[in-house]
Amino acid sequence: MQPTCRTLLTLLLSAILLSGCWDRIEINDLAIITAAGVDLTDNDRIKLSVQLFVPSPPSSEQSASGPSSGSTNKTVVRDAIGIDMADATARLQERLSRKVFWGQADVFVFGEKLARKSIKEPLEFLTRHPHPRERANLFVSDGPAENVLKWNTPIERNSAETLREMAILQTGLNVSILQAIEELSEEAHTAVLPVVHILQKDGESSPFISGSATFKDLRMADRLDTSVTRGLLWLRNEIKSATITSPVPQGGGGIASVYLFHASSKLVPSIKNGEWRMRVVIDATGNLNENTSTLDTTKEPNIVKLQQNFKRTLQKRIEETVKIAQKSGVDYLGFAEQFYRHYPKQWNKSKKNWDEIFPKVVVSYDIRLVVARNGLTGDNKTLQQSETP
Amino acid sequence: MTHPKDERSTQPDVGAAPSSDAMPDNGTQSTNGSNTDNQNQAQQSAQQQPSQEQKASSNSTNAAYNSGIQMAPTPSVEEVLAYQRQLLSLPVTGKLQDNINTVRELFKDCSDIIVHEFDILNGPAASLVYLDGLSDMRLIDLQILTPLQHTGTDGAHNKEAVVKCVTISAMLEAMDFENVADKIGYGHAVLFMDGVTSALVYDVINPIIRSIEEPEAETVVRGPREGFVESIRTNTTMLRRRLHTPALKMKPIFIGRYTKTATVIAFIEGIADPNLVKEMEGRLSAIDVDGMTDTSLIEEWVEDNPLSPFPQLMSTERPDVVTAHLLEGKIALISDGSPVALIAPASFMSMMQSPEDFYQRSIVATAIRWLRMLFSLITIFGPSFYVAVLSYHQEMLPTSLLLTIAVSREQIPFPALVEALLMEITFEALREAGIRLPRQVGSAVSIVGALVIGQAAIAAGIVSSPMVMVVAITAVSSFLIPNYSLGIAIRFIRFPIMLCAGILGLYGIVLAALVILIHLMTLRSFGVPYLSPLAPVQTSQLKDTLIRTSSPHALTRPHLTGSFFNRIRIRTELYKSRRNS
Repeated sequence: MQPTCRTLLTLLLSAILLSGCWDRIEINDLAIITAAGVDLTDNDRIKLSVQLFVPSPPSSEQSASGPSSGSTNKTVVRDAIGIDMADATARLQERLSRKVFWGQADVFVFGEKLARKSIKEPLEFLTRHPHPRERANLFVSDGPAENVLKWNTPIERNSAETLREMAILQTGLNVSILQAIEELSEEAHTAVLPVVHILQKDGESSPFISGSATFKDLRMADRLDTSVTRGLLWLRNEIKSATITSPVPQGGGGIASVYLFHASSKLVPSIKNGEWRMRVVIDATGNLNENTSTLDTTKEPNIVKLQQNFKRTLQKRIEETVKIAQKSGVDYLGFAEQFYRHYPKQWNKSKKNWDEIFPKVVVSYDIRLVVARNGLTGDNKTLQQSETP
Repeated sequence: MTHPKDERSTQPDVGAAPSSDAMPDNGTQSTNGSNTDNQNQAQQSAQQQPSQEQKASSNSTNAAYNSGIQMAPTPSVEEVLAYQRQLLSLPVTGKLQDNINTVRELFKDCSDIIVHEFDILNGPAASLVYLDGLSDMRLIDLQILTPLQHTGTDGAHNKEAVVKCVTISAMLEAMDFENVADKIGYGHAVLFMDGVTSALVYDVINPIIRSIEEPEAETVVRGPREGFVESIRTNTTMLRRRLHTPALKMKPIFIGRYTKTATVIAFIEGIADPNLVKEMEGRLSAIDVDGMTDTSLIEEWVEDNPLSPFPQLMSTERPDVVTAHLLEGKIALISDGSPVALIAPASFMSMMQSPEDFYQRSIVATAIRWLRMLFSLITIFGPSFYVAVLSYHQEMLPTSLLLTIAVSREQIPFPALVEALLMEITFEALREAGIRLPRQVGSAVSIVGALVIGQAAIAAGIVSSPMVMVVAITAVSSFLIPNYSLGIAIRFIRFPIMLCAGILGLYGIVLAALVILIHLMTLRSFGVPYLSPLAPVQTSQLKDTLIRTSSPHALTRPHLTGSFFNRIRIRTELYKSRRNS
């Protein structure tokens, strides 16, 4: 054997002996966290509660009859109290037989009490630690976050999965850690997180996303209800699909609904004569879903009338959100960013008194809503009432 | 006879390769006998020099040999070899009895030698020597003995009369016993005549070969079903039947001092680089072994990097594959006794091609080629990736998949690496057993194998079900590689990669992949980079690498080595004009 070969071999062999697989960890030794909740205790400490996946192996009888479904979806909730997140995590690790693994945590829930104080501390941990995913969803819970985690969902694998799926549907907000951090770093330093509300009914609890919480300077400022949140989604251009229902005064007092499958919005700022203006441009296309009015939707003028109705309803909805935001003085609508981008000089001058300017911003609307298809039935004769002579 | 270590130093011994123009069944006519004579004499004089010295030194022991070697105390290896050399260096004399004695001494203790002594009608006394079974007895009876004993030579005592009498066209003349022994060894019949100082060699080889069958290792759905057999003459015939041109050259070379295996270098003059042929000849001539049993041994002698796991010569059993490669300017080695031809130079990508690629429609063949490359990657990296992700990068998996794997791995006592190695090694063992086992117990192994790599292993709690899936996919994908030796190389390099993955995770996989890639980059097959035309990039050849272009579009040949490059493969003027009209 050549000397070089021998040296190489020795080096390789020693590498095997020296390395010892330092980072290697088997799945069997992981406590897989699927969701985590952060609460504030009465004495201002952090209470970290985590939802852990319990892998219960299929017993031999079950394996014969295919994969078992019910028993594998077990989760447990464990909690620990610490000075900060890292401390709480360390204390949590003391109570677990397996290594805490953040890599699969998809959902982080902040308790309202903590949110009202400051979410700086948990966000700092989640962004600094290498393991938690940046694309994990953030939520604010109505009560203690632990309750959300403890909820045993019948449909999905666990409550974390339920919340994530709900967020993805985008009926409410869908905010990841990355998005929240981005928004907080923007000019207005505001963020909006979805709120999880636990509905108590017949002794059963079922959390769902109800409205949103607005943050200013890392502190929860306001609660928005569901319809205002929808208006907010329009302004933030996060609407994927929407159903708008409006009364039809021209058609005998019935109502009509349109399902918007394409929607986009744009904020166009302008400063004229010292007056700060914002034009909300909305472009939406949809199908007529329901029409109980007497309007014959096969006629073009009637469609135009319907479109006007829908436009009004939509504008009212957005106006309401803007009004609430301007009243509270917290700019979570993203106006500040737009002014900063389009008028950087003016913005830099009046950045400091933005909180005074924002409520005075004049908002105008430019909505283009098209009803593309009126449905298969057209003018529905069969369901019409007989005309009284 | 034993072969002690120092035997090499005593060459040339019995197995000195005969000169190339004296190929056993060259069918040389007696008309060019003079040319052969000159060469034989030159050879003879060159070889007599050392043997005469030895004769002088061992003169005292010669008597003992002649009276019978068995009576003397056990002779040393040198003595035995020297005696053999001495006998072989003897010229054919005019005395028939001397010649017969020499032949009998050479072929002593050979039960299959036949020395047939007879008188030619109206001619000299003669003796016909051949090996029983190797030579065709019917041919000897009808074409040699019948004419000689019934027609005769009309009193003439010279060899010309005998040559006229015998009705076999394939005839040579041998002047010394080395030549004679070689010819007898190949199955020729040698005729000694009283008063003639040379022996007549008649080609009466009895060809006992198996029939031509479809090669089992390289089957195609569409395409020729011929495969090479163990007889070199049949194999060269198969090539010649595909390339009816005098440009198809077959240079003979004999390898092995005892086996004297006939080997030919086949190439097409005008396409193949003459320097490539010269290089191959040079490498072959450096082979000095006592025996050559298969082309795989030649491969080990001529390849550029014998330590690499990757085959650097392409092996095939299909004459159509050899023909296609010859037409690309490559050269082929065919050896007697081996149904496998070697093609040089070989590249990685050429071994990833199946003959079927060229018999199916080009779009389909391209898709299959890509599928093959994809699954080769899976073979190499599949289990390693699984091990790395499960041991280091659990966050990379989708949550649901990780949870499912976590459930199935809950009761497994071993780490993922051990589990993977266990299953992969078991699979390799089963595969090997499947090849080696007698057919009768084959089904038993497949049943047990299905249990070992399957539900039973999972139920026993030794391996997890995802691991079984990974092993199964790897097993299937490894057999997509058309070249068996490349496939086996790729199957075995995945074990070190698995270890790297177990030690360093994905980082280890990348490191191992880099090492393999660098090795492949440095590999050369007869001067041609192993990864060509991918690295270095030969753009003109990518259309037969990444895709399989249809024949009218494969305009140029690959450029292999040197400046001798017959570039144009096809001419499309007529094709295009016909299509456009």
